[in-house]
Amino acid sequence: MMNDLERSYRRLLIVLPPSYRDRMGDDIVATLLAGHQPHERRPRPREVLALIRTGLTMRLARGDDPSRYRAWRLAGAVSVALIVYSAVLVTGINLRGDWTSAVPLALVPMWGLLVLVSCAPLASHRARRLGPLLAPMWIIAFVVASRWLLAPRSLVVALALCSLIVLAARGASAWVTVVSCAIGALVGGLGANHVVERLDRVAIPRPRGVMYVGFVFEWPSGTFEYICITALVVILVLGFIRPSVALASSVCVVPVMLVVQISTDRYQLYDYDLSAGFGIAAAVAAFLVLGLAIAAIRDPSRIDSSADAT
Amino acid sequence: VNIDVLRLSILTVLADGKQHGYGLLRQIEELSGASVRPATGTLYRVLDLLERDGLIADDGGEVIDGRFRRYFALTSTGRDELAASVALLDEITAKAKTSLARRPSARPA
Repeated sequence: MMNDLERSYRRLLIVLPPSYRDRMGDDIVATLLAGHQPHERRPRPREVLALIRTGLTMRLARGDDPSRYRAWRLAGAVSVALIVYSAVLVTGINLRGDWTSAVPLALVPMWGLLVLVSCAPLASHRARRLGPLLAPMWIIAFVVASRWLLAPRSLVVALALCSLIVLAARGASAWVTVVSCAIGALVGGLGANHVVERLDRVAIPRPRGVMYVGFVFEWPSGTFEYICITALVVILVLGFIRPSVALASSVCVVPVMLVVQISTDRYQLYDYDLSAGFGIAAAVAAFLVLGLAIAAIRDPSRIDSSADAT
Repeated sequence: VNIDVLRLSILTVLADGKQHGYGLLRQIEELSGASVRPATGTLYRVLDLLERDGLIADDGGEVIDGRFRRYFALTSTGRDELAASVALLDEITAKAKTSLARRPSARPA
């Protein structure tokens, strides 16, 4: 019968890559327990630290799989691309001294993000039945619900959440690449806007509701947005650890979020609030840390191999 | 040739025959006079590296005291690696002995 000590060690095995854990987990636990005195009830700190270090090393330093962490590298690349894009855009605005012509360009990343997230179900072979249903549904919902050309910020989060439902239900595969790419776009957009805002020397006021890279202002300064982000983060993490729980929580969260969104009629544009810059910076940092944490928790070889299989 | 103490100790113990994780821990400790006492996680990390380098291999397992124990065994590549490490260590040791004999006194630390 499993005692507390064994249970603790088995719980700790989560730090190891799943493929290695499946193969060696029982043996490692047997070795750990053999080194303990019968009266010991708690894992030794030295053993705990060594296991964590081993888990991290195995996940991060094993260089046999070139596609390892592909999804998060892609997310990083999207972020960098957006930062470069916004820098070019701001330079153009500075040179021309005119915001009007820059507005459509500023919206390109936002629309790209919407298309990417909306069409994400199509990326997974196993989710093809849902893809054709989800993508048009969200695009129509977006067009109908938003009375402006600029995308409502919470809807973007809702779209990401919706995609995550399928991600959670289906495991990983191509979804990880697509969704993490979308998160990269979100992070890159917000981060780029924050950086550019600080460096901005444009004297001409921007049109109301326009950020440099096409995101609506104040995000994520409102309570509702924080709730959305929290839900997104929780579901994303759950999706990697317990897909079934993530699916259940997604099914609960998304309708509630949409009902709140529609009932409060928040599909409007907001003036920029400088204090939101700190929130944005915090969100950027949180997303980056989250991305690394997820990459460390989840066995990347499994992500990539299943992606290749689809 | 990688002369890491734990790596070399594992290869040395396995040169005597296959062994499981706990057996390796005990024998490494004995071999080094208790100066090398790896944590279990550390041992398995090095075992994983050695296995991936083809120096050791999974040699099946058996149930001991109700628990499954996996055995590790030295491969021919592992044996060659151990021999090369020992040869290099011999060279270094010989050089060290010569140097020490030539200049027995040293500056105080």
